[in-house]
Amino acid sequence: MSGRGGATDGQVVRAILAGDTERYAELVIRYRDRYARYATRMLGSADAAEDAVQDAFVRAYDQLAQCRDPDNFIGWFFLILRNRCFAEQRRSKDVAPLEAAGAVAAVERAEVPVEADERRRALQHALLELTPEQREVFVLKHVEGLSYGEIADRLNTSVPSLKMRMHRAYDRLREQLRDRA
Amino acid sequence: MTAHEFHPQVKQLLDGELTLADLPSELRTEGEEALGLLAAVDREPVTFPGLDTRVLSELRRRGCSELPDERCDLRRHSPLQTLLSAERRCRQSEHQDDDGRLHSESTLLRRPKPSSTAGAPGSATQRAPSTTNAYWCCPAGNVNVADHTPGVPVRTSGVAAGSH
Repeated sequence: MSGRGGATDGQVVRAILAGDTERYAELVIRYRDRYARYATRMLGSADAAEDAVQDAFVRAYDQLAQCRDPDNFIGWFFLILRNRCFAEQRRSKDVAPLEAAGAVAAVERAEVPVEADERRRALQHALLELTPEQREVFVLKHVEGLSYGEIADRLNTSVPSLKMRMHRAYDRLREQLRDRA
Repeated sequence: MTAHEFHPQVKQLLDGELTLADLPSELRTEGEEALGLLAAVDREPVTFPGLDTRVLSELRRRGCSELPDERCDLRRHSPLQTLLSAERRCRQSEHQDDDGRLHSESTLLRRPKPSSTAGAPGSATQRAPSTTNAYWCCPAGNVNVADHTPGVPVRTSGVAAGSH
């Protein structure tokens, strides 16, 4: 991908590794929002998501020399962020997820009808009850709009295993939403 | 299949492989319920406007704090000495180029760690001789200190060789 000045990710990464470290800002600016929504839905909190994305960028910088395919910086970065989100979920497993969901819902959009907002809130609560793996595939497919094939490429897994995960997620979400109704 | 499980065809509907019209009539209600679930998905964009500033600040902060003790031993010096030392070590260095003009260079971020995998793409520049341990950071903010050391080659690492 190319950005400001037409430099591709690969060119920027190589420049950084060659000593032009300030150019890392280009990558941060280019991608700071790309997975903001993914992280927010995964963690159930915009604040936690921002911390996770920040931390992922710092880690990516530290490990930049290990980016095997600089032209696919963003794919590599995504895996770092993903690991960071999973670690955060493990760490904060005992933190009341309902509070976290409330934090997301707190960023309320005035123009959203109350009923729709309640449904949205209920689903976000239910999502937080899924396993991280189930939640991830749901978020990537239905929030980020990726196909199973794209998700499989990104996560280096197979489409059938993703579908199995997703179908379990559907059932669990249904159960959660019914319990709340 | 339990009462909470969607019918496999309804799951195909959720996956986008079928439409509601493709479902047999007895599954339509369940299909509508399933689509209602997807309708509640929050796809509003999320942005982190100040994130780039925070990331770069963090990298700059860590760049100096992680210097090995023998290079930047903050414990042995007074705050003033430490500051002066840090300025000398981590400054923006000014050099004269071939045309006699002054130009400055700064390396505010510590360089990424070198790759541990030989031959990994992008790792070659990390393995150039005599540069592996030569990277320094600068303290946050710009510090202009003229480098009077003669004959110091222009380096992109920000190291002021032999000036301590």
